[in-house]
This record gives sequence, C-alpha cells and structure tokens, in this order.
Amino acid sequence: MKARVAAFRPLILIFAGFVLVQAVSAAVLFALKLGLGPASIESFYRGSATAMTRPRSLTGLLEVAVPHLLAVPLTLFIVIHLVGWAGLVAREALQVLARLSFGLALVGLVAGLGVRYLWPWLSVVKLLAFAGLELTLLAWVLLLVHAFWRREPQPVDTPG
Amino acid sequence: MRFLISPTREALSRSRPPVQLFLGFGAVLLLALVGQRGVEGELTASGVFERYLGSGDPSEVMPVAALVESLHVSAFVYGFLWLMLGSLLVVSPVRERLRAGLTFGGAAACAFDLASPWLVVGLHGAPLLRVASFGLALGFLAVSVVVLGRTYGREPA
Repeated sequence: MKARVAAFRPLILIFAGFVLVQAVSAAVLFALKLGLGPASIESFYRGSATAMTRPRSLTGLLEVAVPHLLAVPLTLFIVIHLVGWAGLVAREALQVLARLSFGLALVGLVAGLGVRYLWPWLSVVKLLAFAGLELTLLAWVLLLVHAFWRREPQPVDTPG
Repeated sequence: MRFLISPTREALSRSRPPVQLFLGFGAVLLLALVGQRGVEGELTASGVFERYLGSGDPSEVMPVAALVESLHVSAFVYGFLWLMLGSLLVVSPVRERLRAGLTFGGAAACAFDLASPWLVVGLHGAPLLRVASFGLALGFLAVSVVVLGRTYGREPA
C-alpha cells in the first residue's frame, strides 16, 4: 500500500499545482468581476444605476453556476480522496474539513442566486463563503504538498 | 479507482475496455482542443498576435479578466487530464523513463501553455510561444493517450 502511494506522489504534487492555479485564478476573477466588498457584489448581481449596469440574467447566472456545480465538487472530491488515501489527517478531521469545504462551495454558489433574487445582504454570505472555500482549498493543497514530501505515509482510508 | 490501488493483472485486464473508451474520449477532447484553438486563430503566430494584442495598439490588448478566465479553465482541464493519464501510466507496463518523461514533461508543457498567453501579452509579441506551448502540451497528451492505448491492461513485454 505504501509503495502504491509512493508511486502516485509526483502526480499528487502536479495535481496540487494545478488546483492552486485554479484557486488563485478564481480569487483574482472574483476580485476583478465581483469586487471585494458586499456593495460591489450586490451591484454585480442586481445591477447599478450609478455604474449603469443591468441585473444579471438567469441565463448568465446559470451559465456560470452549472459548470461550477460540476467542477468544484469534483475537484474537492479528488483532493479529499487523495489526502485521505495518503493518510495525512485523522478520519474525523478529514470529515470535518470535507464537510466544511463542500458546505462553503454550495453556499457560495447558491448565495449568488440569493443576492440576485432574494436579499441583497446575502452578498456578505457570498463573500464569506468564497473566502472560506479559498482557504480550505489552500489547506487541501498544502496537505497534498505535504503528501509529496512525507516519507512514510500511513493510509487511513482506501476509497474505491 | 480500486484497480489503481490494487493493480492485479486480473483487475487491470478487466478494466481495459472502459479505460480504452476513456482514452477514446481523451483523443476526441484533444481534437476538439485543436479545433477550438484553430477557430480562435491560435494555431498561427499572426492569429495569436491578433487575438491577444489586436493590431498592436495597447488599447486592443486582451483584458486581464479574459486572460485569467482562460487560465482558470485550462488549469482545470490540464490538472484532471494529467491526474488521470498519469495514474493510468503508473499501473501500465511502460519503461520508467518513458513514464517519468511523459508525466513530468507533459505537466511542464501544460504549465508552459498556461503561461504562454501572459508571455505574449507581457512581451507584447513572441506569438510563436503560444503556438509552441500548445504543440508541446498536445504532443505529450497525444503520446500518452497512444502509449496507454497500447499498453494499459496488457502483460509486460
């Protein structure tokens, strides 16, 4: 088992690199498009008379949401799978971090629709959920990098 | 995933048909990527220059948001492709040097392809970098697909 994890270590490091690029580029895109404050996020979704922008259409929102509803959980699933397989953290801690990551991802995706169609104050939730997801992604990447450098991994789980 | 963790001969042989189908889709994806780059004019130096730098006027340079968006999507595609292809290479009967060359060379080529639009914009020229980076990334991916198609699930020669 240890030998098998060792064979996959370089791939784990490569994948961590690509996930880091995804997370950093997502943060930059968020800052460029939505801004870093609740007011600018609200303006992005609901439009602004001063900035002369229209509210986001449902088509536009779904065009962004649908691919992310596949890509974000898939990325989290693989990352969690690899960290669990490498046996880097205790099962309970793995579950807590996994639930937190998936929860933040879902809240972040849904909050955008909420800002547009329900309550503007959900922009705060959107911002916090995105920041939280970015932090958990960073934690997963660091764990993957640790998996590469660690000499004797002790598998906790071997998901099929 | 079980066949990657416990790669017995029987498990690998049994998983060969679905892996072959996956590799078939991989080949279609590569063709689609070539088509996409072609439609966007990114297979020639002049097309790359026009796409990223317009006529050369600073006002026509591709916006940062568009560059980041492209980086974001491509990192997802390349990341998953190399994780899958690299994992299959680990359990395939290929020489260690070939496996390492494809895995590290391919990942480096894809990283170069992620960086090349920024290099073209940053250098305000050198569009051939973008053409070359895609050629390299595509080459490594295509060779990996072919090598896996021929070796995965088979007895070592």
